[in-house]
Amino acid sequence: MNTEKALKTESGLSLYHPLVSFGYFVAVIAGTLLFIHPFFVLISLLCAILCAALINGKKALLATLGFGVPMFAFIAVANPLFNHRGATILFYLFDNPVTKEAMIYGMVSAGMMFAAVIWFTCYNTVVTSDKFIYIFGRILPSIALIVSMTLSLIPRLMAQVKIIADSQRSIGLDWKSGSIKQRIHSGARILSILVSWALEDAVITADSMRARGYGQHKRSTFSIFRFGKKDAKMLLLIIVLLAAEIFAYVSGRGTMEFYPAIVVPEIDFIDTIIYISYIALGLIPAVIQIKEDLKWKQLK
Amino acid sequence: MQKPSLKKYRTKALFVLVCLLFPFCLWLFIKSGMENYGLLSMVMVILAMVPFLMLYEMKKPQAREWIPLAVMAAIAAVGRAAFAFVPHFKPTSAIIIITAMVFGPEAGFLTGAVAALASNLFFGQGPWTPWQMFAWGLIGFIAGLLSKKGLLKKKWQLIAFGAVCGYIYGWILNIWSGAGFVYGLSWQSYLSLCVTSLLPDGIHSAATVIFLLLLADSWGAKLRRVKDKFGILAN
Repeated sequence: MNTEKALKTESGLSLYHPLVSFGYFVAVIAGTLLFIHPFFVLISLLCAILCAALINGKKALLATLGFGVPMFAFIAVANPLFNHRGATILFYLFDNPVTKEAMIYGMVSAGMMFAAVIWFTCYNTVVTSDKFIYIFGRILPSIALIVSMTLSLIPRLMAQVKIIADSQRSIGLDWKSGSIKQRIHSGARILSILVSWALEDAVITADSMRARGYGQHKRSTFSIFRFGKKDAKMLLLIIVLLAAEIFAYVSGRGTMEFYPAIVVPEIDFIDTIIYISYIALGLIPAVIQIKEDLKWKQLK
Repeated sequence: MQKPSLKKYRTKALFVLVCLLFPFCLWLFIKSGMENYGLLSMVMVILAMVPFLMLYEMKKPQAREWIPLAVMAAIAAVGRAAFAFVPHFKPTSAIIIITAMVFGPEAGFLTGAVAALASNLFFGQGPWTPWQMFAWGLIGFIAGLLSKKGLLKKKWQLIAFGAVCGYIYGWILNIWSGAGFVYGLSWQSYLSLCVTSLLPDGIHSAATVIFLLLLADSWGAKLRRVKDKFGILAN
């Protein structure tokens, strides 16, 4: 199970340079948030679901859907209740008009949020914390180091809590027994000991870092990422597709009139190209994954 | 002599840059004629964090200056995870406030923002991450400022501030929910969102007050002791 998971995270888009995978999610999430347009939202949502199924597995996707569908419904319903713009009044609720336009807009914006959330679940799997820190270590080295340090401290603190709790129990201050007041007291003691320990430990770490030359040179990272030919190709593809996205946005093809009345825009040749490029962008992780799976099966 | 002037110059340059970027982005959005408030607000909140982070980055901080902040951010994140089973009841804000009271406003902002970012690497990142970073960072920053002015010394001041914090946090995140979900963000829709979130924000506030009362004295003393003993962040 564990090895399977380890294999899974290291496949597809994960095998590319962090700059490529991070850039990909920036492009696709930006597109998702930019285009309040039913076609774009639908494309993004379907691609996100497909990619999440391939990258995170069906089980994780179902969990996301279980949380996302009620959210979708809530936003879709909330918009027409809060917002009374639009020409076509369907009915009145508590003297407030509920319009068709607001209803459709609510569904589109709910779909947009839903797609963004699913894309973020893919992001969380592909761009692991070490990759995130690798990228931001170049722009904001000190901030990246703090975040990296915080992340490594979290499991260490958890382990220390256990040690402190055990030793407290051995001197008769078990936080799991006694009255509630006593237990809160013992719990607070554990936390208080933890803070003292962690801060003193932090100072020792800092002095040790200084002794070993922190701040003298540029910091290197543990993970070695190589920017190869395939990364360059993929990055180029992402940039081209992103350019198409930006063009679509700037030329106003990515928006639609919702108020006062919905105007369904006619699709011309350029629109078709934009849609195809947007679909291509959304399908990149899925295509890489499927290609790799096929190769794997052939080799087996 | 040269160093502070350079720093001043950089800070000014940065200030001007951000001041120009803000209206530029606004203009771009108005020009494009799109009322995509979700994206607009997202850009704004990220921009709002830039000066804080850049200022810190430019200082080229010593390891001793920031490692205690990483520790406090980690404890705040662990606290958030430890109480995750009680919705909205979390010690994170209280821990950030205590840190800010000892180490100052800038350190408070950093601790809050890092705690949000780091804990979300466990809870899952999303469009809400920048908002949480900003909200907790701001709480830390205000706590640091108030403490610097000696306004958080008395117990009732601390309780009052803690009680406000849950609402500061909730209302900042409501901007996001409102802007992200509701077309044509208006005061009415924002206010109705704030009314619906009164109870969750209240629980957050209550948790902050409780943890401040429990921890402020003892943890404050510990942090001050470490600060004095090892000479950390003694400006």
